[in-house]
Amino acid sequence: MGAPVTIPLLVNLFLNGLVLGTLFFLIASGLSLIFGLMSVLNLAHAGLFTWGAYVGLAVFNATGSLPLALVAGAAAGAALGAVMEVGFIRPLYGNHTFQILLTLGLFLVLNELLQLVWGPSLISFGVPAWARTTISILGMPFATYRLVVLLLGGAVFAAVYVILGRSRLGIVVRAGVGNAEMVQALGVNIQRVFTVVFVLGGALAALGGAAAGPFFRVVWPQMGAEVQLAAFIVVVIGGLGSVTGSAVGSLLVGLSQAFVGYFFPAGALIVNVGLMALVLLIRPQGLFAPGR
Amino acid sequence: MGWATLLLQVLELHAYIRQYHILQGVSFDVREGEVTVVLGRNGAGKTTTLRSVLGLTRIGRGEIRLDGLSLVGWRPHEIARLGVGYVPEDRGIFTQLTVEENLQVAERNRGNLRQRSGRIFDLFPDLYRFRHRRAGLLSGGQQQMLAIARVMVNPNRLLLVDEPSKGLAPILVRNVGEALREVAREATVVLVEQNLALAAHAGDRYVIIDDGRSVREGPMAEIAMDRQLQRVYLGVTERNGGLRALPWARR
Ligand SMILES: Nc1ncnc2c1ncn2[C@@H]1O[C@H](COP(=O)(O)OP(=O)(O)OP(=O)(O)O)[C@@H](O)[C@H]1O
Ligand SMILES: [Mg+2]
Repeated sequence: MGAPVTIPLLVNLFLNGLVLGTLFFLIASGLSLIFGLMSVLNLAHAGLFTWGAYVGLAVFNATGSLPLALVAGAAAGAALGAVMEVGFIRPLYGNHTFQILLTLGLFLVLNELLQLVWGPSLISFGVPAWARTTISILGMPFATYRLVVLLLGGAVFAAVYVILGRSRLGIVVRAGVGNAEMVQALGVNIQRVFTVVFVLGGALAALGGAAAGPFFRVVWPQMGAEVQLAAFIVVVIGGLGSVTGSAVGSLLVGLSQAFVGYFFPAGALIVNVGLMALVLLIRPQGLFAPGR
Repeated sequence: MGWATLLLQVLELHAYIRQYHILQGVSFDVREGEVTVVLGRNGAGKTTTLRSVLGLTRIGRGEIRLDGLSLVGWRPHEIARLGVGYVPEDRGIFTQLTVEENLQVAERNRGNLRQRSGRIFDLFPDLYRFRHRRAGLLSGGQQQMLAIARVMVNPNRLLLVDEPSKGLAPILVRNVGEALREVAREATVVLVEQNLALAAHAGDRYVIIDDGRSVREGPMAEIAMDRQLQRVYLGVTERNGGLRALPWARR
C-alpha cells in the first residue's frame, strides 16, 4: 500500500463507508420490509436501483438538475414496484419457489430492457460543478456530494422510522410483519398495503441508484447486481423486517467495505460474508427485531 | 314471540385447506342476539368453520349468509367490515406492537377507538396499565383479554370467538367468561369452547361438529342433560369432570 495512513485518509474512508452504507440502506430497507411483510425474497429489487440510476442520469442530462434527477429516479422505482407487485408477484404469494424464479426472471428482464434503451456499456455521469466541490469542516476537506447523500439517507431513515412508528400505515405494516392474516381479519385490505410497500420500497431502491450515479460518476448495467449481495447481507445482519436493523447493518457493511476494500481489496466481500455468518451463528434472527 | 331472526346461516359447507377436504357438510343457524356454542372433539373442524365464515379458508361448496347476504367469495377484510369480529384460537396478538397499537390496528373507522377505549379499559384495567408495553410481554391471560378487547374497538354484529379459555388457569377462565358476557351484550356470538362448564354458562344454543360435519344442534340445556351426547361427540366422561361441571348451567 505505499501511501501513509493519515487522518484525512481515514476520515475519507469513513465518509466513503457511510455513503456506501446509505446506498445499501436504501436498497436493503425495502428488501427487508418486503420480506418481513410478504415473505417475498425479491431478487428483482436491485434491478430498480439500476433503473433509478439510469432514469436519474437521463433526467439530469435533460434538465441539469440533480434534485429533479433524484425525484425522477425514485418515481420510476415506485412505478416499477407497483407494476411488479400488481402484475407479477400478486398471484404467487405463498409460493416461494415460483417467487424466486419469477423475481430472478424479472431482474433479468429489467436488466435487458435497460440495455435495450441505454446500451450495455458504462455511461459517465457528468455531475454539476457544485457536486465536485469540497467543503472544509474542522480544517478537513469533505466532498460536498457525499455529505448530500448522507443527509439524504439520514432524512429517508428518519422519515421511514416515523412513518413506521407513528402512522396508521406504519402500525399496520408492523402488525402485518408479525401476522398478515390477522391484520386482514381485523378489516384491513392487506393487499393494498402490500402494493404500497412495494411502491415505497421500489422508490427507495431507485432513489439509491439515482444518488449512486453522481457518487460513482458513472452508471453501468450491473451496478444493481453488484450492490444486491451487500444488501442481502445487510438484511440478514439487521434482521428481516426491521428498518432500524437495515440502517445499522448497512453502515456496518458499508464501513467494512470501505476500510477493508482499501487496505485488503480482495478481502472486502469475505469480511462482509464473515460478518453475516457471525450474526447467523450468534443471533440467527438478526440484530434487530422485526418492526421498526 | 315468533321466530328469532337468523343472523348467520351456514348451509352444507365444504371447506378445504390446501388439498385436504376438511369440512364436509356443516350446517347451522345462529340467531340474532344469542350465543351459539360450537362443540366437538379436537380436530373436528371447529376452527375451520369459524375461519370459513370470515373468508380465511377456501370454500368448495355450500353457503354462508350474514343477515341473508351471501359471504362466499368475499375477502376477509370485507367480511370483517360488515361487522364481524374475530378472536382466534392462537389469539393473533401482534407481539411486537404495544397493547395500544394492537387496538389501533383493529380500528375500522377513525374515532371508534377513542369512543370506546373508556369501556374497554374499564373492563380490562391491566390493559390500561400496560397500554404502552409490548404485547408480547403480557401474560397469556392478558393476551387473551387483549384479543377480546380488540374486537370491542368496533361495533360488531357478529363475533367469532375460538376457545378463549384454552390454556388459562381457572381463575382466568372466569374472567374470560365475564368479558364474553360483556361483549355478548351488544353482538351475536359464535363461541368455540371445549370447557363445557363455560360453554353451558355462556351459551344459548349449541352445534356439534364431528369429523368435518355438523351432527346436531339445539338449545344448550339439551346437551347439559344428555350424557350420551357428551360421551359420543365430545369425549366427556364422568371421570374427566365434564358432568360435574354442568350444574353451573343456567337452564
Ligand atoms: N394447515 C393444515 N393443514 C392440514 N390439515 C389441517 C390444517 N389445519 C387444520 N387441519 C386439519 O383440519 C381438521 C380440522 O381442524 P380444526 O383446527 O378446524 O379443528 P378444531 O375442531 O378447531 O380442533 P381443536 O379443538 O384442536 O382446535 C383437523 O383434522 C386438522 O388436522
Ligand atoms: Mg380449533
